[in-house]
This record gives sequence, structure tokens and C-alpha cells, in this order.
Amino acid sequence: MIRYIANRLLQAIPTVILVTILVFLMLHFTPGDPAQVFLGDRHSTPEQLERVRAEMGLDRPLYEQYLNYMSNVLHGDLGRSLITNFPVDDTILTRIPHTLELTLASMLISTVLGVGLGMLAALRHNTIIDTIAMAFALLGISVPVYWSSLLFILLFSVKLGWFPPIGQGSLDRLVLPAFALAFVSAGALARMVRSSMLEVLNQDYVITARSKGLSERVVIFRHTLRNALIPVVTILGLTFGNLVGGAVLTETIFARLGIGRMYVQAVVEKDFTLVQGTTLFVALSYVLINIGIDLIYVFIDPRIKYD
Amino acid sequence: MTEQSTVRVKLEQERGESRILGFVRRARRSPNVIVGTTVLSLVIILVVLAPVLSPFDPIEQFRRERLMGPSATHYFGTDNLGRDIFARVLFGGRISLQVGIISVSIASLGGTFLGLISGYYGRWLDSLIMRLIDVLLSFPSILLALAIVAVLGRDLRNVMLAVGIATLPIYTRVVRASTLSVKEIDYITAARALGAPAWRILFFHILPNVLAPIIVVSTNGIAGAIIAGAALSFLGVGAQPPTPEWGLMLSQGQEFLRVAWWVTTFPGLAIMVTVLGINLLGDGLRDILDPRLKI
Amino acid sequence: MIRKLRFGNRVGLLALLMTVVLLLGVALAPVSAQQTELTIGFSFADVDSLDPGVTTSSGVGIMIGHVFDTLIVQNPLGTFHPGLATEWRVNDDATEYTFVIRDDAVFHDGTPVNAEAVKFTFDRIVDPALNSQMAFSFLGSTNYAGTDVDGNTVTVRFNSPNAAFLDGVSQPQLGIVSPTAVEELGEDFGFAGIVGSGPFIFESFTPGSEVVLVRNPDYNWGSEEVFGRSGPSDLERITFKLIEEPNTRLAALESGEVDFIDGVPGLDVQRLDEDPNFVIQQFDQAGHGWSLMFNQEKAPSNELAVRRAVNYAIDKETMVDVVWNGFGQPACSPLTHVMFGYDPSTCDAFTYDPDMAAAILDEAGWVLNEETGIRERDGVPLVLEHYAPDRPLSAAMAEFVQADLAAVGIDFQINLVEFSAYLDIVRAGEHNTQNWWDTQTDPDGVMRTLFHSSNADGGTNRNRYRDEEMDRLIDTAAGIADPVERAAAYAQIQQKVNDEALMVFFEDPVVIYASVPNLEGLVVFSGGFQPNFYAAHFS
Repeated sequence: MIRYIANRLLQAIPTVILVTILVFLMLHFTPGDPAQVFLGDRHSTPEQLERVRAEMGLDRPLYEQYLNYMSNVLHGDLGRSLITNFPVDDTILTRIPHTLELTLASMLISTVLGVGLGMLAALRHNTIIDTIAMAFALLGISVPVYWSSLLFILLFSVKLGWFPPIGQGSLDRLVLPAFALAFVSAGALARMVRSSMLEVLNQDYVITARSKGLSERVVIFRHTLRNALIPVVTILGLTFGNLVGGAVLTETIFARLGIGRMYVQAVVEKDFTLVQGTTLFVALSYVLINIGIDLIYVFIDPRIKYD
Repeated sequence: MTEQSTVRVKLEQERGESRILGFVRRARRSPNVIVGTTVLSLVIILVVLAPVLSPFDPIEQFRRERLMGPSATHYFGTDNLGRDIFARVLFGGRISLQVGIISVSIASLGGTFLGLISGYYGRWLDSLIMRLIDVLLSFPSILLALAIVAVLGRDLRNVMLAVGIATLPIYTRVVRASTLSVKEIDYITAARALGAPAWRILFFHILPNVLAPIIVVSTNGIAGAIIAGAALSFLGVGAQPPTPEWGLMLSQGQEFLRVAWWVTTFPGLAIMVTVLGINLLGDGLRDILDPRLKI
Repeated sequence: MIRKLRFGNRVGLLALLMTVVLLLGVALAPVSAQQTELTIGFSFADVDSLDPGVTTSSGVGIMIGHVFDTLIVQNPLGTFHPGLATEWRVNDDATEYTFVIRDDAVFHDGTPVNAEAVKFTFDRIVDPALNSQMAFSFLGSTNYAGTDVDGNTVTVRFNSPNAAFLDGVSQPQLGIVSPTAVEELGEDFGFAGIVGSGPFIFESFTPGSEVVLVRNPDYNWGSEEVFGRSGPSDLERITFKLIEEPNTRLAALESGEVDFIDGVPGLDVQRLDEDPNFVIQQFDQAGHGWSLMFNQEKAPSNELAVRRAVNYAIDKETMVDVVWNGFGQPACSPLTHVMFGYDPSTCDAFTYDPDMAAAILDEAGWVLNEETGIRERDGVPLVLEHYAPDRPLSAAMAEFVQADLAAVGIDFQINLVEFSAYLDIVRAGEHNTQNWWDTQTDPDGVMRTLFHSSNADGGTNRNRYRDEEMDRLIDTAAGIADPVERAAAYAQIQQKVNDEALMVFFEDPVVIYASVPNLEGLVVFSGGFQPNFYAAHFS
């Protein structure tokens, strides 16, 4: 197992490097120029554009730009944003705690809601409870997140005054965005849990366990839930990894600090250094999360072996 | 009962063609399949017949009647430019259904295939595929979409491809996880020991066992794909205004949420009904295809 | 109660601007019980830099206007008053401006404000390494010839007459910076800190979240004539919460999270207005409203007949109702109707007349193809490729125009693209049409931006209009010191713009603010565009 983990960590290096190279190339080959975004819609001349490009290092050969950037990164220097000149590490580090906080909170909520609803629906398969639970899940996945977010704000901030509508930094400011974000994944999760549970409930060994007269609770928790968890853990892991892209709308609507909105904007503005810095972070977190998930599989289902 | 289901598995494998017959027979008895098919067909018929059914041109602007609530003239009300929302929902389905269904198909077919072989063969192939999936996951999906469009051109097909590729990793990881677990089930290890060809094991033994999560993820993904497709329209890819499209109608109506709920509600309902139909159909099909599930 | 204030100063000096005292009550509540912290829901969420010399955002100007003092202060009615300069002189041909700098002002870091600091500020802006754009243009761009220091006076010299400089030097982008702080903070000036001499001291900036300013207790050089006070502000702290989403901004006000918001969505104005808990204020915006640029170097927008037809074919009156929910008014000129130099006769140039549009196109040989509904000439369809960034307002404008042009047989193709690709395309001149919006307080800036050939190579003149006569008119008008003569010169430019149908002017916008009713003492500069909270307080 240790060998496996070590091996996976080693594989992380080429993975991350490949991501940075691909992102670098794609940024360069898609239309748009950070120098133009920097100069924006104000007075500027072609000469000025050239000078800014030169300052940004965009006039140098691609491989040189890339190697230069990577060597700076290895020296711990993520550089400054091309558009705003703010330090990249600072920009990322001030946002990460808030993004993490939101992601963890919404994952907690969606796990409780999703797993609960899903189990309930599976155990009461084909009853009215099943139907209601699934209607709720359907609502979750097909209601656009900005719609539910704004509704939350209007109801809980403007009408009832229970929670502040914007910002970050305290628990009461976390509640609304976390629930709004959790709604979507809870729906998806509930359906996944229900489906997995139904399947496992009909597996031979569960049927055997039941026929042996084991109590329903033992059957559910010892035999069923465990095996039903594999796809659920996968989805949860992906949701967690998606912390960057998943919360863009939530961050925008709740005017919350976070990495998602910044990342999208940096891509659209072709802010190379900021995109690259964030990509490094995202790639690293995905790699680590996926190693974690693969290890959890073994824990859940001891039959799974990695060679 | 244990024996009964094992026997059924055996029987299914021995009689390939009667499988199909059995499938049809059981499909006709499944309420999920019937309701799901009905809802989905209804949506498709409405959308296909949009030019006949629609009382108005979806891009005609009745400027004096802007932001009017649902009425006998405008069943779903009008938007900020005074366009008939009923007409726009009907016509909008033409693009949205395509984007939703095709991009999810791309993602689920590609992702399932990769997940199956990755989970089944393991070793270096698993490492290679999964690291590529890691790369894909770490990518900003907007950049991916922009790159695909920069290379292949601005076209609706490329939007579907972009959404498809961006969501493919979910299927791969889900399918691989289930495969890892399923391939250790007794009858599959037995089949392997008996020397059954790999493709046969993969597609006839493992695939049916991992179908449930695929169906759930796909049906969940359709609503997401329709909305993501609209996000891409805003990047200058795919449908451009004034072409109606459900996702775009939703995001453009956001501004008017407080004064004109109908602008976003009806395209939202359209997505929900579509997803509902696909869900029911998917759940029904899963039940039928799963060899162990009783009907 | 909507207070719609129009004090457009059409005869007088350089401006437009309005003052507002928020409530009629003058009685002052006891100081101790007062709320002294002001929180603002601010729409300009994209802060590129807080450095006055660097920022290209008008929104940043609003915030840093509280941190930096300018040499002179322009009151909302367009008259000029002493700021850091106690007096000033302009030579006869407007090429030399001499300012006497007051001797009692200090920067927040203790550095004295003096003539050297003024020279430092201006010379820094023209240093190519700073890449200044907005401040650079307020300083007269390449026309700036240098600043001379003599004791406590500075003389700013220009290569050619620059009548717009009094307006420019009163803009926050030309606020005087502390040379010590600029040197100490280096690249972090504008991000980790900014140091000026204004009534508020920079406390913190979290990009994407907020800018916090605290009171400068030593402030004693405010413009009494403009603000009605000169000492430290009543407010101890101002927090600008950056909230991009209009609906959220509004909810933040309604839930009591913020006291003041800008960019109030038009559709919500009436509801807020009827609510006694809120006060709405509207101002006619200065500068240039929303418009459509025609690329002169690409067919068919290079053709006068086509441009004239488009001008006749668009129903601006309805457009204001539909696209701007009835706020603002149809535009006629590159200058909004409250600008100095605005010529009301421009409104006679084009009226909504689709038949006229059709007749002009017929005459130019563009014949309607009955099958497609699009006009053609020599087999070429009449297509205008329109490019715009992916914003809701851009979409609404484009969709409106598309329908009106389709009615006269013009195929207006909408291409909404992401912002950087949009800049690529329009700077390269691949568009037929694009939108424009600007806010300025001097007509020179507006005209130069839009029509001067020096801006035509990928710069802001994306009309790509090059005309020697126009260049001469703009340069001459910039140097006329006499207001009446100068206004006449701008009337001539506006005449020429409409004769050649260079653009379509859609709307003169209104700027809408909402606040809690007990916030008083707000002064709004720059044609309603720059609210200033120095004299603000809660009653």
C-alpha cells in the first residue's frame, strides 16, 4: 500500500507538469491578448501595445516564456498578475480559505441531505416517500443555482433578516451560500445513493443476510450502505475537487471571496500568470483528492486491490 | 430467490436473441419506462412541431407588451424585448435538447469506455488513463471550450463536444470505481478463469453491473449540460442572440427575476420536465437491464 | 420621492454637475449618538489598481477620490475652487498653468505636500514604464511638456493649447501622491497601500471583496466652498463592498447590510421610491452615453448611405423604454445633453423614419431581395457584423437594433464574444459595428477618443475615422479659452459628425443611487458619476 501511494505521488509530478504545459499552450493559442485587456478601452497606441507586450514577456519564444515561468515557480515566485500587477500567491492565498470553507460546508450539507434522502427513498422504494424524495432531488438538479441563491437572499436576508446576504468570514455569512450550493449536489447525490442502495439491496448477499434473520439495521449499515458508497464517494470526491469551478455563480451572487470567479475571469482575460498559478493549485488538489478517493475504495470494499 | 436470479443470469447469457424480446416485453410492463417515454416523446413532439404549434415568431418583438405576465395571448408571458416566451420555449428546445442529450452521450459513452478498460485492466493502462483524467479535471473547462472552438471553429457541434469532454471525467471515475469492485464478484472471476474473452466479460458481465450509476449521472448531467451550453453561448460559441435557447433564456432572465418571474420559470420548467422524462426512462431501463433486479 | 435634478450648465464653464443635499432637514443630531461608519454597495467590482496614475476604471476614481487631494476642486456646477493649490493662473493661449501650493497640507505618511510632490506626481504619469492611460489623458497625453518648480509654485507646460486641463487636474486620477510612499511601496503601491493627503486614509484592500478607508484626523484643507466644511470628516470609516450583481447589491441595501448603493436596476426604482426606508437619486450622466460605432474601413459600414439609413431606422424613443426600462433619454450627439458644448440642434439630424431609411438604401442601389428579406447590391447582401462583449446590456441593445434594421432589410449579425477576444477583433478592425460608452466631463476627451485620427490605429477611435479636417477642428477647440467660442467650435464638430453619420447615438443615461434616508451631505461630482462622501453624515 505504501508503495502504491509513493507510486501515485510520483505520478503526480508529470501530471501537474502536463497540465501546466497544456494550459500554457491553450492560453496562447486561443484568441485574446492580456496586453490588450490591460490597455482596455482607454486611450492607447500600437507602440504602447508593443511595449506592454514586451514588458509582459509575450514577445519572447513560447518555450522561453514557459521555462522562465516554471523556473520562477521552483524558486517560490508565482509572479504578479499581468492585468492588475497584484502578487499571484497573495491573490490565491487570500481566497483559498473562503473557498475551502464554502466547499466543506456545502459538502457536509449535501452529504447529509443527499445520503439521507437517497436512503429513505431506497428503503421505501415505490412508496409516496420515494416519490417525494425524488421530486425534491429533481428540483435540486434542475433549478439553476443563481435562481435558488437569489431566492434565499430575498427570503432569508431581505424578508426575514436572519442571515446577511453578502460577504464571508463568519458562520452566518456561510449559511446561505452553502445551502444554495449544496442544493444542487444534494439532488444528484440523493439519486445516486438511492440507485446504488436499490441495487445492493437486491444483491445475493444482502438477500442472504436478510433471510438469515439479521436485523434490518445490521443489513442496511453493515452490508448495504457500505457497498452502495463507492459511486457516492466518487461523486463526492469530484464535487470536492470541483471547488474551483463549482462555486463561480454562488460566489458572484453572494459577493463572496473565492477562487472560482477569479479563475474564470483570469482565463477570459488571458492573465497568464494568474491562470497558471491557480492551475498549479487546482491540479495539485485534484491529484491529492483522487489518491485519497482511491484509498477510500479499498477501505470500503476490501475486495478492491491495486497492483 | 437466490437461486432463481442466478439461474436467470445463466439463461440470459445462453439465449442472446430472446434477451431482446424479453427486454421489450418487460419494458412494456414497466410504469417508469411508459411514463418516461410518454413525457419525453411529448417534449420532443412539441419541440419538433414548434413552427406549427407556436402562435408567434420566437424572435418577433412586441415592444409595447414587454415583461407581461402569462395571459391568453402570451401563454407564458413576454420577455424584456416583448418576445413571446411560449414560442421561445418551444423553439429553444431544438437547440437545448440537442446540446443536453448529445453532449451527455459523448461524455457517457467516452467516459464509460475509458472507465471500463481502466478499471478492468488496471496496471499501467489504469495509471495512464486516470492521470489523463486528472489532467482533464484540473483544466479550467472554459479554457477547454475556448480551445476546442479555436481549433474546430464556432459551431454548435463543437459546443456539444466541449461540454462532453469537460464532463467525461465524472463518468470515467464512476465507472472505473464500480468496475474495480464488480470485477472481483465471483461469477466474473469465474468467467475469467473459464477463459471468456475480455470484451465479452467487459460488455456482457461488467457493463450491466455498472449501468445504474451511469444512468444516474447521465440524467443528472443533462440539466447541467443545457445550462453549461448557455454559458458557452456567452463566450461567443454556439447559439447567438436572438436565437432562443433554454439555458440562455434562464441566464438572461436573471436580471428580471424580481419583477418578472415568468421569464426564467418557464424555460426552467421545460428543463425540469425533460430531465424528469429522461430520469424515469433511465430508471426504468436500468431496472430492466439489470439482470439481478426483480421486476 | 424621486429627486431628478438637472442642473446642466450649458452656457457656463466646463461642466455639468450637480450637488445634492440629501434631506431637507438641517438640524444636526448630537454627535455622540450618530452612526459614523458608512458602508457602500459598490458595483465596480473589478479593481485594476488603486494607484491614481495607473487605474483605468472610473469606479476606482470614486473610491480613491477620498484618499487623494487634487490641486483644484471642481464643484458639481462646474466652477473651480482651491484644493491643494490656493490659487492658479492660466496664460493667454492655455499652454501654461501655474499653481500656488498650500503650505499646511501633509500626506498620510507625514511627508509634506509641496511643489516637488506635484512635479513628481505628474512626471511619474508620463513615464512610459507606468503605462498610465486615464491619468495620462487627463494630463494632456503627449501634449504635456513638463512641470517646473519655483518655491511653492508649479508651472505645468503644454506643447499646444489645452483648455481642458482645469477639468483634468480636478479629476481624482491626477490626485497628488506621496513621493516617499511611492518609493517605499514600489510595485505594491496601488495594491498593498496608497498614500495621499485626502480626508480618508487607506486601511485595507481585499481584491474582489472590499476597500476600507478610515478618517484622516489631521485633515484641515477641505474645500469649504464645495463641501461646506474643511476639517476632518464626520465619518470614521467608509467601507466599499464590491458587489457586482445588481440584484445582490439591492438586497444588501434592503437587508441593512449597506447604507448606499450605486447602479440601481431601473426596474426596481419605483418600488424603492415608494418605500419610506429608502431614497432614490438620479443624475443625468456626463460625457458620452450608449452608442454604436461604425468601422469606416470596412464595407458596408464605410458607406455614408448605409450609416444614414441605420440612423433613421432605429427607434431610439422605444429603445430607451425597452433596453433601459424608460430611464435616460434618446441621444442625439456624442455629448450627452448635460455636457458643456452640447448642441441641441443635433436632435434634428435624424428622426425615427424607416421609410426614409429604405429610400436612402434604394437610392444607393441596395435592393430588397423579397425571398430573404435582406437587401443586396451586385449579389452582395447588406450585412453588418456587430461585435460586443458578453454582457446582458450588450445583448439587449444588439437584439433591439437587429429587429429595427431587419425591418428595413439590413442583416445585423450579432456576435457576442468573451472580452479579450472582443478586444482582439475590434482593435484589429474586423467589426462593422461595436458599442461605446464613456463618462468624461470635458468635451475634448469625448471627441478625441472617438474621432481623432491619432486614436484610429486600434485605439479608442474604432470608427477608424481619419479626417484631417476633423483632427484640426478637435485640436483647435481644445485650445480655445473663451467658453462661448469653444462651445461654437464643438457645435461645428457635432454638425460634422451627424452630416457624415459617423455613429448612432442611442441613449443619454441616468446614474441612479439609492440610500438609507438619514444619510446626508452627499456631493456628487462629474455629472453624477462621482459620489463623494467626505461631507456625508447620518442624521
